[in-house]
Amino acid sequence: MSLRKRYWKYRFIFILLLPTIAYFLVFSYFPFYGVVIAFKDLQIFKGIWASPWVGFKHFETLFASPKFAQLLENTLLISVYRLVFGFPVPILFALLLNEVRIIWFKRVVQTITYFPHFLSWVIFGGIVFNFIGPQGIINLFLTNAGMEPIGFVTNPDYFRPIVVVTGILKEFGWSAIIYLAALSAIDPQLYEAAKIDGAKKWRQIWHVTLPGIRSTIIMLFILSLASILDAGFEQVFILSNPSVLDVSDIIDTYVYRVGLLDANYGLATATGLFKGIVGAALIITANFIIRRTGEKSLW
Amino acid sequence: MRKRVKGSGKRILLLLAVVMLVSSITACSSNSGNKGTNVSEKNPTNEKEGNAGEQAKQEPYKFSYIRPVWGAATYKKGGPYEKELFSKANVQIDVQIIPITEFDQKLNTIIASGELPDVLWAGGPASKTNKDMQDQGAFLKINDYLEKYPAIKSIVSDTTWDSFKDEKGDIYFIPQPIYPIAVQFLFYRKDLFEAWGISEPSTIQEFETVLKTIKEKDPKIIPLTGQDDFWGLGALSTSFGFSHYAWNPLKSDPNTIVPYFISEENMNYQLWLKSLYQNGLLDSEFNIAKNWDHAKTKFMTGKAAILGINSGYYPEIYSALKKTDPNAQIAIMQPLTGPNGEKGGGRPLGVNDRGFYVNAKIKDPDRFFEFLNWTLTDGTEFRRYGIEGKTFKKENGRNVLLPDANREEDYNSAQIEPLQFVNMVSETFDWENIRSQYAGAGIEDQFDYVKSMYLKHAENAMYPDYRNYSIFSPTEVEKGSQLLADYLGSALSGIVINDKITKETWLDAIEKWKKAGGSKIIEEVNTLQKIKTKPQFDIIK
Amino acid sequence: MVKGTIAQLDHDEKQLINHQSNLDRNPWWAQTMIYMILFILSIITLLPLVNVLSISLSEADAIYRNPMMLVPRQFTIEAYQYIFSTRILLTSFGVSVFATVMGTLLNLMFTITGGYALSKTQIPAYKYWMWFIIFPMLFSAGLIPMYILLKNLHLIDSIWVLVFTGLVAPFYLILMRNFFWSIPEELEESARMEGASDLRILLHVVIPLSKPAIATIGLFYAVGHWNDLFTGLFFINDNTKWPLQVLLRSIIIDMNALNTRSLGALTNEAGRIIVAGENIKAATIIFSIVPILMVYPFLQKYFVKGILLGSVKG
Repeated sequence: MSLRKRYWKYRFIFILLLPTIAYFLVFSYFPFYGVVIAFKDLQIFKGIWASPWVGFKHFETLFASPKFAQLLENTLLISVYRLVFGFPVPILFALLLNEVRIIWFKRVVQTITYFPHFLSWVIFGGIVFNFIGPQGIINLFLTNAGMEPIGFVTNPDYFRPIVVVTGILKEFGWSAIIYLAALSAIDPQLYEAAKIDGAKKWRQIWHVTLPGIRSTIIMLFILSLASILDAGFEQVFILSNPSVLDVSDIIDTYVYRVGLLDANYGLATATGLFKGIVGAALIITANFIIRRTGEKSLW
Repeated sequence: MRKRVKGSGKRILLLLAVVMLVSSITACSSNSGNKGTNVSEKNPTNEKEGNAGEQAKQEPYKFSYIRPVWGAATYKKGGPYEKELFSKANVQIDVQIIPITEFDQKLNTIIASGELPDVLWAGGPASKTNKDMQDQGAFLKINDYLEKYPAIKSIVSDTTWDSFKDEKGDIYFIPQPIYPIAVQFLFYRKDLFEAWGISEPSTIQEFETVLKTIKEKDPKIIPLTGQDDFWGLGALSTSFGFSHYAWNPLKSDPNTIVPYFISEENMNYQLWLKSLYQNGLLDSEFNIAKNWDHAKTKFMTGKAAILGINSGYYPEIYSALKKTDPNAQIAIMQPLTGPNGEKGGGRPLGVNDRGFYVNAKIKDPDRFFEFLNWTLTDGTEFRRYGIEGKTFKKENGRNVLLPDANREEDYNSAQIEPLQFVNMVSETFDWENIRSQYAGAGIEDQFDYVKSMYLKHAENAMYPDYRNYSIFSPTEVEKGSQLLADYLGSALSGIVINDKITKETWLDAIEKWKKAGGSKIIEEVNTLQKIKTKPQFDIIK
Repeated sequence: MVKGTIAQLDHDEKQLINHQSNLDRNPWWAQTMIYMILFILSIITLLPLVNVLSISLSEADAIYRNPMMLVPRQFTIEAYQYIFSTRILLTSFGVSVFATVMGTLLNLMFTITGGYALSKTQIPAYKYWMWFIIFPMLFSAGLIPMYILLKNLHLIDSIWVLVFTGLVAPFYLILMRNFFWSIPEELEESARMEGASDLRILLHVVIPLSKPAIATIGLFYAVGHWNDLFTGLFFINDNTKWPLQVLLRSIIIDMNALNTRSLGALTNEAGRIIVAGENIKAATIIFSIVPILMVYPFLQKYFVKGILLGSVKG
């Protein structure tokens, strides 16, 4: 079949796709020329076009910095820890919730646990600080009992675990929603069939439930790779302090500080470009691997 | 099959490329040049009409104004105060407000998109962004208008105006002055001192002993706390003989000025704070707490014995503390003498970081300055006090501003603030007004005491910033903040609270900073800035 | 015939669960443990909410002494009174509602059609079309070009900017596509064999079966709109057209975000740094969160297991 005929065959599909395409064309691709800011010294009065070119200077600023290796390490470690420890939690939570037979309990738990997602890190960080800060509840308790206070907040060794744990607490309820929806899409007949074959609960979960949400899990995993260099700016910014700067300084907090004096758009755009390229590379790799295992991939 | 698919894919890429090319071209043209906005373009020039003899009413002068707000952004156009202002001054101002936290970013975005308002609030020529715009002809040169309207010229001293001149002697920036001097006090619990038999210290040494005694007498109370860094413990820093966050001349060579962080005085100060911190004499949450006002709160709830904070907070702290403990008494420490014999004091603030610019392409600029002039002459009562009965009342022949809580909603400060432009430096420190504040809080008897302490701090030992920020060091512009972030960041911020940062680490960091470009910055500043004498400031007695 | 199939497909969650529990139960100790774990997790996440709520109903002085509270101290509703007396509060609330409702509606329209289209992997150049939407997820040119574009589209200073930006989120588009994949081809085939047009299939077969997905993604979009601070702040100049979050945030002034050493920039004309009381901050949070929290319980009924009956196999 010729190309034109194939498009005609699927014309309904392409008509459905058209609004989406139009949106991205206008709002994403049209303004994309602005990426040249990464290669310019943007002078706001002159505007984007008349501002002078500086080539790769902004990239140099980032990569040639003596801190870059540390920044990269901090960023990656936080992201990877988050992925390894944080990614499974909403899934497990959804599975647990799925076992609940009392409907009102299920609904109440769902509604309560997703609440922290709505708090900004400014607020949530403040609450965390009230707990584990130098004069927070835990340390107050310790000093009253005659013991030494623990420097949760000031000890660099605690920083990454705290970031991961507080991040999980804040988001697990919200992240579980997708998995709950996916669980509800599993055909109950599959459960029936398994039961007839003599499968106990665990085997049912292993052979029906997990495979049923496997594609969702894989998809969310790949998509989270796209933002692996983000590491959560707001959270890290709030939870860090000068004592833990060595482990808490990530790419975004560094760019924020360097660009502070005179809104350095060039540096920020260049960093965004860098993060996008790395994200793309990771997605492509992950997708390739996934395809090899026979699962449905991103494309 | 694959070939056809590939061909189709290539077509998509081609489509994308065409789209982006087209968009680039159109974007190019839409951003050409920043114009004055349409609001002022609709304004017909009226110079020829409305002559002295004829009483033909001039059209109101229209212009647009972008400005930050510091509180709730509830300003609504067309309110009664605004109407009154517009009719009295014969203007129509189209105000756009932006919360202060996003002000810079949003304003830059608006300008980068090709729209420069008629009048815009900005940080002044000390910022490279603004300096560039001055050079590129974005703003109106105001030298002639200053001569024509002496009232405007008198809002700050001539020296101050001189500091805004660029290399050609042109001035573009109109400052909006506030308190000329930052004075931080050390508030302390007089009742506790008396109970513990502690007398007020006069030197840093004695002060440290006092802290130790406090800790002995009551291990639970925090001996010393201060609002983060300078703005809290500024009183102490001046006792070490340098101006925190500023450029100071070297003791060994008064003709060379250096940034505060490499001065020996600052290092001694920080190391001293560090020892206090390690001995539990300084708040364990210093520089760590997330609440900006945690130190103030601690003092107000009786958890801290001594608080370093801006002098202006006295009424608030006093009333809050009394609620917690009616027997509490607050006193203010006299300026302490440092280890090298320096007497502590206050720090004059430059006015170069707040004010506004006028668009070079504004229509009929003379009328704008007429308006400004009006606010400083005929309209000065209105500007300062507003409308009687609504925003102020007369008391004992004086005008006293009503607090927001006592005003009708249409007249509260959120509706007025966006319409402010200039005021006189001499007005910013209005003792009478402050006295009424104290009277309103029921503590007028304290006023004279506080005033005397303020003046004591503001006496001889003043610690100004010697640097003229309008003179740029190219290296600093290019990588100043990066050098700081790369080499000095952790040392500077962590010296007091981080065990791992020692005197050696500190000195080492400074050496690295110097080598990487810091020395060059210092050199450039000292070469380009010829005048390094102690700056004169308008001090209010 | 298609409609009949659908009628049979609607099921009640209760019936389902009862049906399920007849099939098998967990051992009592396992079930108890599950309930306990969930209970503990709920308490942990509930505490911050109770804390913020209590603070919002306490007097500012009482909060200073100890901010960790679970019941209000010195009960007062003054914080809420202050908020409700804020000018233009009602209009900004209205703007937020508009943006959320209108925005989500359009979001879903675009995402459902786009997601369904992309679930058909047989279309020519499929890989390129997928990359067409993945690319914007990874790369964006930033604030200034976007502002210029919106200016040219006359969307600056219009409440419609809240609706049209972020109209389609690639992330959700992909999730939607995946949900559509879980609907068996046979269903569509059998409907087509009965003579249903493509459009009817979409409207009467696919969409009804996708209620969990549509509810989920609709919720995500809605929450995104409601919580959005950025769009209104940067693209709407007229403060009377601001959405709720922007207005409320201006009341709180986040001091941590003010990162300048200059006292001049920090203080207003009177030389004061205005920081709202803790109770007002807390009340602001409660006021801005509660409406959207109320949405989820209504949507939960859509998280029903989709049921496919034997008629498909036949």
